[in-house]
Amino acid sequence: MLLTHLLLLLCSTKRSCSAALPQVTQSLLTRFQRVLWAWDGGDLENDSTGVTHRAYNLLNVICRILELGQSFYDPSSDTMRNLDVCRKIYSRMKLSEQDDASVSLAALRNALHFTLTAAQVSRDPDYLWFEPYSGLGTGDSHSPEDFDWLVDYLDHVYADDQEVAFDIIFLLGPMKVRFSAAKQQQFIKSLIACMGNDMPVYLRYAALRAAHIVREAIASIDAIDAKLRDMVLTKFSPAILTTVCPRPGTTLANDPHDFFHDERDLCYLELIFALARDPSWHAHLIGDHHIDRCISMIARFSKSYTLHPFYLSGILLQIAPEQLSVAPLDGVTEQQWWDMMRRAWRYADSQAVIDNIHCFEFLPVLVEGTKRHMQIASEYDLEELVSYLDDVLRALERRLSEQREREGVIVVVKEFRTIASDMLEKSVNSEGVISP
Amino acid sequence: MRLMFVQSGLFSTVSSSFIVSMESNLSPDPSDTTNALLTQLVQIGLHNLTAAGFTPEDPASTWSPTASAVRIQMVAYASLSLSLLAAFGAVLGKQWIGYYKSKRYGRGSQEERGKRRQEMFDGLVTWYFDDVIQSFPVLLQLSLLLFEIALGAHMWYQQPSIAWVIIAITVSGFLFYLLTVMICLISPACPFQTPMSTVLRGTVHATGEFARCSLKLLSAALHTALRSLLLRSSTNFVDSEAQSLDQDSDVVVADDGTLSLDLPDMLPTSNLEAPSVKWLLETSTDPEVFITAARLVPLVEWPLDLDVSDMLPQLYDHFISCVGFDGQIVPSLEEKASACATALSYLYYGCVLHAHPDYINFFGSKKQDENVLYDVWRKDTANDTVVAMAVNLCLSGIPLDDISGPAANSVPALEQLLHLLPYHFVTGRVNQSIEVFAVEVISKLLSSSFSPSNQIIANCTVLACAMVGVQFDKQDIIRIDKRCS
Repeated sequence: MLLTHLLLLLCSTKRSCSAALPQVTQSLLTRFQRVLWAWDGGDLENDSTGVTHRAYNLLNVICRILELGQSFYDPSSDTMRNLDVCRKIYSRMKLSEQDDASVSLAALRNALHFTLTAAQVSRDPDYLWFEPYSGLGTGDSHSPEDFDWLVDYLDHVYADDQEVAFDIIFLLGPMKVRFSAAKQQQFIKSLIACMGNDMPVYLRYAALRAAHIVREAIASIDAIDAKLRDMVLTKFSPAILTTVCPRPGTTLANDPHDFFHDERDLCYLELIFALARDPSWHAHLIGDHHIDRCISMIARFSKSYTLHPFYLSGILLQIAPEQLSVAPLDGVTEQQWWDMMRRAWRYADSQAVIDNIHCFEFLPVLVEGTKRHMQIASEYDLEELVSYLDDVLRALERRLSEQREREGVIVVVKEFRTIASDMLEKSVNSEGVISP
Repeated sequence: MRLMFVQSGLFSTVSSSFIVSMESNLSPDPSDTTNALLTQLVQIGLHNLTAAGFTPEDPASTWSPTASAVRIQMVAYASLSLSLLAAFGAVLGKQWIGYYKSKRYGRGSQEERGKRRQEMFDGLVTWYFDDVIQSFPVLLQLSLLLFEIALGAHMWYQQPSIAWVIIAITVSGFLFYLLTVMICLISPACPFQTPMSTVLRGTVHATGEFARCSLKLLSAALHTALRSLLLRSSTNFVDSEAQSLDQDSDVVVADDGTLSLDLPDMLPTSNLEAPSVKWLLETSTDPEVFITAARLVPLVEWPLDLDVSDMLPQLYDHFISCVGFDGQIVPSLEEKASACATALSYLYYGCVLHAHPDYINFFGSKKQDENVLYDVWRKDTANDTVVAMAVNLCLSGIPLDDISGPAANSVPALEQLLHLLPYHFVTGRVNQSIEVFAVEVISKLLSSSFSPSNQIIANCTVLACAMVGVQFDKQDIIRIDKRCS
């Protein structure tokens, strides 16, 4: 009887409390960061308190703890200070002997990952496609040169450790950690390597996303030096295609899972759209089969209610502005052109278009392109187009007070709206005459 | 209690009969008046009217008891009252015990009844029930002493030679009692133990402790004063250097304020678990029950206000009882030895945390603490990791190479270790072996091969917090190791 009582007692000791986990997780993050920041980069054996040494050891497991308790802490806004710690470890690694270097290398790997984990950035590739991260903290006094080591380290590590390469690319890409212009060529070279078809998919996607973030710099190819320009034009263009299509000649039939990926393809189209603005890229985009890839996307995206039709239209209209004979475009049917143009206007009132000067400047080109293909439009299509144009005009007029130079574009869109409206009216009237 | 009731009744009867016999000293003797009147009649018959007087003789009107008779009666009545009080106490005690016996379990499940019994038992301890019951025989002893004094004094005025016999026997008895008390003070194993000897022993021990502490404090104060006097001039440079180091380290170890965890309150009956297990370990003679109770030690919450330091030597004694002549654990007693070693280690951790920031030795001296734990670790093979950590807790700063034994690879074993590791960092008793081992334990428990529970995540987080210097309330450390999920 007493034994039974003891066993019952044993069962009753299993209690639960969920209140402490958020508290201790937040405290751990806060305290751990503070301990790391206090480290001056010196010899850990001289740490009189031992706490820094422990924190250094904890780097091995801290990310796992934080990942498991991710919902219990607020993202750190001290990414720059955490990167300073990484820089100290990197400097220590560069100065240390062979054995110590491997220890520092492991610590650096963990510290970089901790920097991302503290900011609640996941290594999940799906996380890449969200809006650029903006949690680097305010009042940052770092100069771009302070982060050149990241580019150096990426160049050193991408062949051996793709996870670390991913972390660095995420920092330099979506997290917008700036490095000096002198390192740009080295960075693009590393990006090209990371886009290779022998690299894991998450790294290729991260490289694509980073290229997407710096697309305007790459697109303004005339502004960069000749050596970099040659490399970008000859190597970067085919590498981009590798990120979305690692095996040349892959078709939808033999790769149904990865052939289309909505977020990735939107990122890809935005990048190609930016590059297609510069005529010097056109030959490379055609020759490296980017246009073929875009045409293969038409069937999937031409009728979709996303931004894909806008960028697809933008790429194709910029490649063949006057319907010049561009061989690959011959395969696009008139109906596909029209569907694509019509749906391109669907999200032309979005912030992604209105707030981006290049997209905004493209609107008159889109007007001309739509005019060319609207002859086959049905009454329903025209009604839809007119309503989209109304939305665009409203959005443009709202911004007119802020930017007067947009007036010319508004006039063009208004005229086009009138044309579409007249065409709709005619269509209705003609149907009205015939139908009775 | 029944015996005391009978004894006090008998004694009251005896003392009453003697008091009645001594009662005559308090009232005038009627025969004195009769004799006076007869004397007066004889005088009148002899016509000696002058001697007979003109008023009848009444010696009672002028009689008063002697002061000694009153004092003797006072003592005698005090003796009678005390014996009656002892009888009354015996009746009450019998009632109290009857109530305890009938109500100690109450109703409900086995668990509820067990906890109820523990609650009642704790009440007995809290209200000094044992001391109160023990005081009733003292009343009877006091009553006997007073009775002997009264009897001796009474007889002294009656017949001193008889009184000498009574006084001699009384003094002999009293001296014998004092002798037994003194012997009990010298030797706790002496069988002549009485409540008086227990009380005196406690008083002597407390006085000794106080004197020793006072001497230690005095010598420490003297040492500090002398040191500061002698080294004042030479330490100026050293102090400034030390200060700069302290300033650097302040950034790291600066107290952010103790992290107070928002843990829900304990269940009302949860605070009975630890006393129940303690009681079982202290009183159980059934080996199976003892082993089960010892295994419960790591699982229950040991409140800080529950002093368990006295259990450590007991558990060590139990452990040693499992060791054979060859110095090895007897194979048939391995289970008991293992349970004892684990329980001993856990309770040692609790005691160390309880004493922190003071450093208290629980087996007499630091050396003895080390020896005991080291001895347990060397002999016990099943729980070497937990015990090894306890050794490390005691030998703070001394690395122990083989800290992780074969038992430290299963998840339950790792969870047990996870509960104990924060104690090292909270109390500052940490060395490199423990640091590396703590990271290893967290790494193993959070490995991606299985999905760790919230309890494991929380405990790993607490350990990591303790490692980087987050300050915890001691009570929270005790509670969180069993509760977080």
